[in-house]
Amino acid sequence: MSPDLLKLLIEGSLDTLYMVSISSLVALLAGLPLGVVLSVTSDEGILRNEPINVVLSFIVNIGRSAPFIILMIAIIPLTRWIVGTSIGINAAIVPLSVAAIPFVGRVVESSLREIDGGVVEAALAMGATPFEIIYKVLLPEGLPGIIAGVTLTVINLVGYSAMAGTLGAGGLGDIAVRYGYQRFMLDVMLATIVILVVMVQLVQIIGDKISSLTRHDKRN
Amino acid sequence: MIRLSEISKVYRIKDTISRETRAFYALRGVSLDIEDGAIYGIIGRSGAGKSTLIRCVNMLERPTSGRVFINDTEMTSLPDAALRAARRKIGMIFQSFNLLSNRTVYGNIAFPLELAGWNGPDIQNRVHEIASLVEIDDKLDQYPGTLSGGQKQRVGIARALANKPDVLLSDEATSALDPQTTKSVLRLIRDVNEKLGLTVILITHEMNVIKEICDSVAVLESGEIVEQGPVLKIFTTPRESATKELLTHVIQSELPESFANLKFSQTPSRELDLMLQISFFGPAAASPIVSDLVRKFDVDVNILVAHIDHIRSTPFGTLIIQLAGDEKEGALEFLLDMKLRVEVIGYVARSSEITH
Repeated sequence: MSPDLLKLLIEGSLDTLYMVSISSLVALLAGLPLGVVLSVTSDEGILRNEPINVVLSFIVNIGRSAPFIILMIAIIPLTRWIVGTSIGINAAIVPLSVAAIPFVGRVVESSLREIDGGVVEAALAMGATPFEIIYKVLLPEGLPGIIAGVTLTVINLVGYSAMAGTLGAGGLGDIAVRYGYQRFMLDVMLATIVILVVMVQLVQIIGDKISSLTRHDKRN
Repeated sequence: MIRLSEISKVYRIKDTISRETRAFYALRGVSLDIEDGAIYGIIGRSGAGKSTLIRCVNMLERPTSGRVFINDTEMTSLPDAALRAARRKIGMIFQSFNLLSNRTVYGNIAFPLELAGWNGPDIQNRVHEIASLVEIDDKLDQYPGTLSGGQKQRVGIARALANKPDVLLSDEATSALDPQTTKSVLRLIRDVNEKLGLTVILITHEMNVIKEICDSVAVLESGEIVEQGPVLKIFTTPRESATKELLTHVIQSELPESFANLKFSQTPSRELDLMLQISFFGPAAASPIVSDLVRKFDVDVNILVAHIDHIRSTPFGTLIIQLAGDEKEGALEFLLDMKLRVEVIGYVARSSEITH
């Protein structure tokens, strides 16, 4: 493989990492509160509120039911309005984040749902406010599950970012399409696949490690 | 003084098929007065409403009607912030412990103190103080997942007591523990009750728990209190069938199965033996009834069932005996004169099976 191609692959990998990390961060910042609200306003939640829960749940479901490639095209006006263009890696961050926020929301919600209701009851019995219950009970107790879910989100985003690459976003997906597919360069195609596999493996291993470090509910 | 006045709790249950809502009464007009410093037991089978009742004390469940007073505070009318403040002075322990799994033992005991706004050094002192009281101070750095059930409940008790409550609510706190651990946890509850002078309300389905530590007991059946009073009185003279049923595991007062086929006659007869059930408690339990009978009357006494136990330091028990001989009637009168509860089961033929 020529030095030029190697340089191309390194740049592509860095672009992918950039898109994935920024959009993961945005998805976490927005998805975490979304998941908390979904959880506490549910039937068994501490701030039960059916209208809010139904509306948010509906919006989240819309976000999750659109296939990424369609979502990406559909929100081009939004992307233009935020970034100023719909092409390039910065522009790709918008649809990637929009796709990941509802996913993180659901992941957080289901992690919090798994927490034993008795623990929340105990905190209520000790005079905790709803806010104290959220940040002293629900989030710490749900942390291992949340981290596992965020790991899953990051891996999904690696896949989505490759898709975004085909629509002019740059990164490994872009390289795989333009060099591997359109110019029949099998070595480039294989190289991008290997890099993506390594990335996903690393994310999974790191995520599992952090999740198990925060988990204290089992004998070890 | 804790006073529950005419507490009712109604749940609306929607039938999934007919879509009609119907009312389910978990509690019906329950009234209780609990003295300061008492250990008050509420016993009932599962589904009797015990959990709902104990949760009405700290408003984890709001009664549909009725009022709850703790000292002069009416819990049922407190606004949210004041209710939270009141809850900080009511400790609660649970069957499933409900400890925070991602906090160490130290962090769990410190939790209510953080909520109550204690500062760092005070929290540290208090956690160590209360941890040594419940004898868990060597486990402060461990996570609950590594502890045994008994140790977890000790942490639960330490957490409940950390903010110096006036009242301790115990929701089946020993039901998940083995008999040995149950005893030690109950002893701990009694110790803190005596040392700290707090009022304990506990719910349980086990009469043994009541017998072990309670001063008074209320029997809950289908959301109603069917019987209440001092533990000794309820144990020795239960009136309601629900109470008797709960007592059967503690006091063996029924005839053994092998006697079930015997033909009892209620008319006195020279040829037949007299079978009696004697219940006793207090000082009478200490007197040598059987040897008195044999010495004073021409009778043979055969003990069929005997059970003697202690509630705190008062003995109580049940005895089923068979009397044979010419002076059976005189012996019966003698027994009736001693302040014992004597019940004539009947006259029965002397069979080899019984007298061996």
